[in-house]
Amino acid sequence: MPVTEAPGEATDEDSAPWFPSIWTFIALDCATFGVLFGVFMSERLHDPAAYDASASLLDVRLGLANTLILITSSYLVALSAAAARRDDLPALRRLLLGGIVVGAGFAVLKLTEYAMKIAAGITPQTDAFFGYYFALTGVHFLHYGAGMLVLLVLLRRAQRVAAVDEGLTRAVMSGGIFWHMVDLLWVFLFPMLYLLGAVR
Amino acid sequence: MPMINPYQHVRLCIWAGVVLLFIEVVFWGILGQNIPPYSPALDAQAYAEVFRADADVIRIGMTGAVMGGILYMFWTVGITKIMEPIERANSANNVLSTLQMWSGGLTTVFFIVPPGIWLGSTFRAQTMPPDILQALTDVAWMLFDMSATTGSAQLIALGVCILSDRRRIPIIPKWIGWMGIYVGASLVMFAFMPFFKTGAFARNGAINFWFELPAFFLFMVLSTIFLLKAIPKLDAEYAAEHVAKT
Repeated sequence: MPVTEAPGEATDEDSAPWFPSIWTFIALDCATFGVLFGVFMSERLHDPAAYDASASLLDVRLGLANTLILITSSYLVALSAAAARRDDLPALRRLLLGGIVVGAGFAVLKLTEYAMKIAAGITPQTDAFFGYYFALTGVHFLHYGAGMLVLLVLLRRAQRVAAVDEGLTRAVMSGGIFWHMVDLLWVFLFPMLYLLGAVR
Repeated sequence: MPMINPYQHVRLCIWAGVVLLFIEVVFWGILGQNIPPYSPALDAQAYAEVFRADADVIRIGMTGAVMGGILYMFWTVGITKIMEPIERANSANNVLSTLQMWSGGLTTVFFIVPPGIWLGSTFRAQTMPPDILQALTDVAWMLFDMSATTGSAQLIALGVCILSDRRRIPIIPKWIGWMGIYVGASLVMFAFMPFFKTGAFARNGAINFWFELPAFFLFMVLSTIFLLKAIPKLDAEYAAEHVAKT
């Protein structure tokens, strides 16, 4: 049976604006990626020429395209959160769908890129740079997959209701925060992996 | 009708997690020469030399680790008993607590079997060929690290359950739930371990050893604190329901 609080007991929700608890996860996850980025950059310092030589084998155009895809998808999801807050259900559904469709392009390009590398004989064991390339982009890709799943669940939920309620708005905002993190992490990965070797 | 105590022994089970942590650090870690582990980049001969020199101490350490591993199951059962009333209050089924218990139970196996393999390799360490000695260590590490997905499933199920608590003041703070999901998900990075003999993702590397394992153990400590704090709240909740019925 549902449990209720004792009468008169104050809660955070009564007095404070809603604060998405997903920020705990976001902070920890970003800190982890901070460690990963730090490890990569410090390892790179041991042999920058070799790292750059390997990085130059990556296709900057694919990396740039994926950056634009994620930023666009993130923008659409941000608009969907705004739509949820003004109770505009048709716009919420449309924008979430747009974010998912655009975001799907990332998987197409990334998997194509992985396939091209493996076909060219480049694997995580080729050298240290590609070890980190596959590990870092692999961890990011898992986050991307989780984010896409979250967006699909949100869309399904939005399609099943007749009007936007507070729970749906909060879910869209929390999911959106996660999706922006996926985007943000890629914005760090792209210059670190693709551009550092290309600009020399 | 006398009131039953639905949380009898639960505190003991949860405290067992703290004892397990102590055993893991002292027996598996310090005596077992796993803080830090021997480098996987060593060749078999070099590995055999350092391992044989420490074999007697490692034997004591791994004996303690194998014997103490079962305490993880106690901790798991304790968590299950805290999760069940959260699920009941939500009028939900018990999928999350069941998933947590089964995956925690399976994780227990990996607190016992890999140390057992390390222990086995100490038994004839002085006469065993170096490459077999090293292969046994490799197998133990692969099982120990790669089985982390059972721990992932356990922590994520716990985390989702904590987040689903509909009480206005949750029994366990929601940030602990998110932390459980985070630590559970981050254990997936162990998947890179088989591909690296050096660097951050190697079994003695910055990410794989110095980040992943402390994150898991830190979550055990933090969650244990809040699991113990949950018991008086659940006791009071049960007593209030019991009084209301009688």
